[in-house]
Amino acid sequence: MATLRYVAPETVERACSLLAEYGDDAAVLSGGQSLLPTIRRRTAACDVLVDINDLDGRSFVERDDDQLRVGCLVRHADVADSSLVRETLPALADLAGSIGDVQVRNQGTLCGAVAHGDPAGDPPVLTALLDADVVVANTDGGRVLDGRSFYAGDHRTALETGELVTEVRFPVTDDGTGVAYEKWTPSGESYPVTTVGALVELDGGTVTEAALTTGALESKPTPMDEAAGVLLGEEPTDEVLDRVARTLGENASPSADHEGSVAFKRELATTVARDALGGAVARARGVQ
Amino acid sequence: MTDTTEASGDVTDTSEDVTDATDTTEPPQPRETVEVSVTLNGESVTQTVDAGTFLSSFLRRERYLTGTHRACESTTCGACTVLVDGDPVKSCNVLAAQVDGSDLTTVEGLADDDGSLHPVQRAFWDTHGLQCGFCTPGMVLSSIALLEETDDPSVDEIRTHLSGNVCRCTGYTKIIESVKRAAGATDD
Repeated sequence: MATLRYVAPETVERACSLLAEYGDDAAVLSGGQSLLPTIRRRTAACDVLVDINDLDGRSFVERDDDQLRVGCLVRHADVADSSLVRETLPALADLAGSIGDVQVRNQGTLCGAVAHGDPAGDPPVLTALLDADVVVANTDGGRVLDGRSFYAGDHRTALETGELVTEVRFPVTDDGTGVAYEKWTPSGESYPVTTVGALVELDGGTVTEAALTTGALESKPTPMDEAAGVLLGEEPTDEVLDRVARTLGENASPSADHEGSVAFKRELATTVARDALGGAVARARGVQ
Repeated sequence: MTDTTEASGDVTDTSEDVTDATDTTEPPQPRETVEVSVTLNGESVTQTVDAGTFLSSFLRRERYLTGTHRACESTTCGACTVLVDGDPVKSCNVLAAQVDGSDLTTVEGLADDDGSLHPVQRAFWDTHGLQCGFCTPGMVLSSIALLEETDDPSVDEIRTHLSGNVCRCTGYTKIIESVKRAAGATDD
């Protein structure tokens, strides 16, 4: 590895021109909680760090009509503590508050985790579940990518070399729709083994829309459409939610590793999905 | 395991290499060294370091503040926790360049000039919230940040807040008692 070089541009345009100029040799540094360990281990593929922390006006969390906008310098701790997030999309506040530990949440950014695309990362799951808009800048100006199709595999996304995620816009759901996020980790601050995001829309006591996405089990956030389909048109009783969660667990395709066997992870997925479903239904009914 | 940076101390200013004459304000270029200006335990410090210098190395090797302990070097144990603008971060996973312009507090900045301990240090001392003491600087700094947010944290809140700080001696009971005692002391 060549000697590491560092640059802190003050505009998005300059950041993008640097990222374009240095291509795959460059990496975006925001919180650095995933990037810097690779620098320390000398396994990083980059030798130019483009630190975006000097960009102006990128620490916003704001509501814009039916979207909740999170700028690229917003830390996990800021998302977790934001009263706006807590009111408009409490599942996102839950998610952000569950990442790593206090020190990691004070440094790491939500947009950085979205862009990093770790299979066991938390933010990708809600990005995919809610089809959030991933707003990207590049030397041509920029584009907006769909969260649902943003993830291509293990640490692989729709981002191209030279692109910078400047914000993520999550849809704000209406009354009658609930979103919840649950996970299981072997110890408090470690990466989860199973995560589930659930969205449930209720109308007159029956489910009119449902979506489920798992994380950590496969190489990218995985929509579980068959399980979600079990809910449609049903009254979300405990028995129905149990059945949906079991379907999700049966359909999950985890791989066995040091964290558990396939059967163990499917059982976990069932349990975590049941919790997420219960939470989403409660929120759809107006229970916070 | 050593740092990714060479601790040679050879620092050269490469700004002369930038030759874009058309721009009156030259855009910043990637450089192998970075000038870092911080307020460190109340003192203004400006120093040029290699770009890949981690904050923990900056504090220990450049500033000789060896109270910031390094153990796991992988963002797990929290022994290297310092406060950046009041917020605890793990200095083994932050570059010195990233904290440019910040207000840093390390364990050396806690006691008064006359040597009297910070109330949280005093509570750890009085409660015997340590055995070998290696994790203690990180524990104390994380606890101070918690007590800034919450006057009277519950045991669960303390446990959650300190989950990024690992202790291999105490079983945590005395540490949590120390934080509770410090919370009581700050109410006085």
